[in-house]
Amino acid sequence: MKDNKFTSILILLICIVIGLGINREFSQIGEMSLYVPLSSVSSMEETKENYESEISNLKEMIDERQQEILKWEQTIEIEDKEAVLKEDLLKYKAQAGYETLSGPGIRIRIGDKLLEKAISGNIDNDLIHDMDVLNIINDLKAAGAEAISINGERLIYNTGIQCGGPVVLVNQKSITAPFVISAIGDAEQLYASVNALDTYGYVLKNVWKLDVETIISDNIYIPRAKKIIEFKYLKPIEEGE
Amino acid sequence: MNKMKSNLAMVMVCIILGFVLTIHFKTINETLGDSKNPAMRSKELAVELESFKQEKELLENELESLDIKVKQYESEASKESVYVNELSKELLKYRVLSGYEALKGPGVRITIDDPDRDVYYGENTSYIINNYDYLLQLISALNITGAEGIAINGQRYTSYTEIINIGGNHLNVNGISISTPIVIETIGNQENLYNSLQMKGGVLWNLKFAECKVDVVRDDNIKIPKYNKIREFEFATPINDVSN
Repeated sequence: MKDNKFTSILILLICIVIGLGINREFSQIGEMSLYVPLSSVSSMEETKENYESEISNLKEMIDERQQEILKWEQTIEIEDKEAVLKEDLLKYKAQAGYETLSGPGIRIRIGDKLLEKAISGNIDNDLIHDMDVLNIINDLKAAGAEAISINGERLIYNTGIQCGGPVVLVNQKSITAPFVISAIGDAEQLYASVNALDTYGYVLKNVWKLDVETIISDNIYIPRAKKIIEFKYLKPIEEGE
Repeated sequence: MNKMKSNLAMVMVCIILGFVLTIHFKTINETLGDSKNPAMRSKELAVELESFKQEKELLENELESLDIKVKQYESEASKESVYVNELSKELLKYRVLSGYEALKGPGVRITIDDPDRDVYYGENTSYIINNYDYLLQLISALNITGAEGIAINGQRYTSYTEIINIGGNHLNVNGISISTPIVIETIGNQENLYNSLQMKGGVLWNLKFAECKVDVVRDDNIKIPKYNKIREFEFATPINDVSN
């Protein structure tokens, strides 16, 4: 009897202590008189990271502009001004895809499945589709590719890749399998982006058993875009607007 | 015997309670860092975000005024010679193509949001972000239809723009993380863009089929921001093309 009473009191005491502790924990939050879910805190952290990277990008841009202004200030002769403009033009042309480039990188050849017999019984699974090409290219861009071409068609900002029956349309031109995708950039990173475990390229090769082959080369040649673009709808926004 | 049982039960309950409390505090500490509670941390972050926002705006204004200065130099030089005038026109064109000019024009705005339904077990929380292939397909389809400029959640789509999921509930676009709702703005022939998006079996149809909330509106005054990041070629070198 006595023993039992002692235990009860002990439990009561422990409960009181825990109760006070929990109460303290909650009353602290209560002091701020608002409830903030952890998910909103972590989304704010993300926004913060975004701001940080945007700010450092902007700072780099400002540095570049200042240098450009310096260059303009130093030029007096019209010939020098022409030279400045020409240099700029070359730079933007290369960025836009209108300069032929060469450099180290990789070349990927993707073809339809080589095996005679369809594994799943569905021929669709044996073929390479526009979706596969889009995914591989997206992975290459994420790996820092500086220029990409498919069967000699340079990818520019508005290149669409769409299935057109037996062909795939790239820059409104029909190309056929096997597709050869060339990319200039850090060769090892590019290679990893299509061959590392669980990447899209790896799955195409090892799960769907398509004919995927990647080679690393020190001299990848990527021709310039030949598409002539006329803007009908867009207008550049004037500064200060 | 009975007492044994109740004691055992007590021990079990205590152990479980202990585990739960530990996990709770660990999670909170991981998210909050040094701060004491979520409300405080969020207040701190709000202050930081505000200052970052101001800094960003300041820098944007500075960049804009520098841009104006460069353009003034260009236009002054253009008056001096016809050749320079031609060059600066070309320059503008390639700046648009490479994404370094903000654009405006008629077009459509597509908004895609996750389905309202509850998240199934084993599924990640956002349908769209886990199936970002749809976005790649959508952008490709827009380009085929003749879009002249595209932005995703305020990020300009350039030939270097990647859309990847690096874990969690967000996508990285131009290295900036974005989350749902996804807003894609595009400039081009309004009717063509609008109609091609309505195609049965098309990307948006598939998304609607998966119960995503999809909204397409025509807008005569779409504004597309410019790409705000320096790109330097590290590996590629321009070569003189005979056909140039």
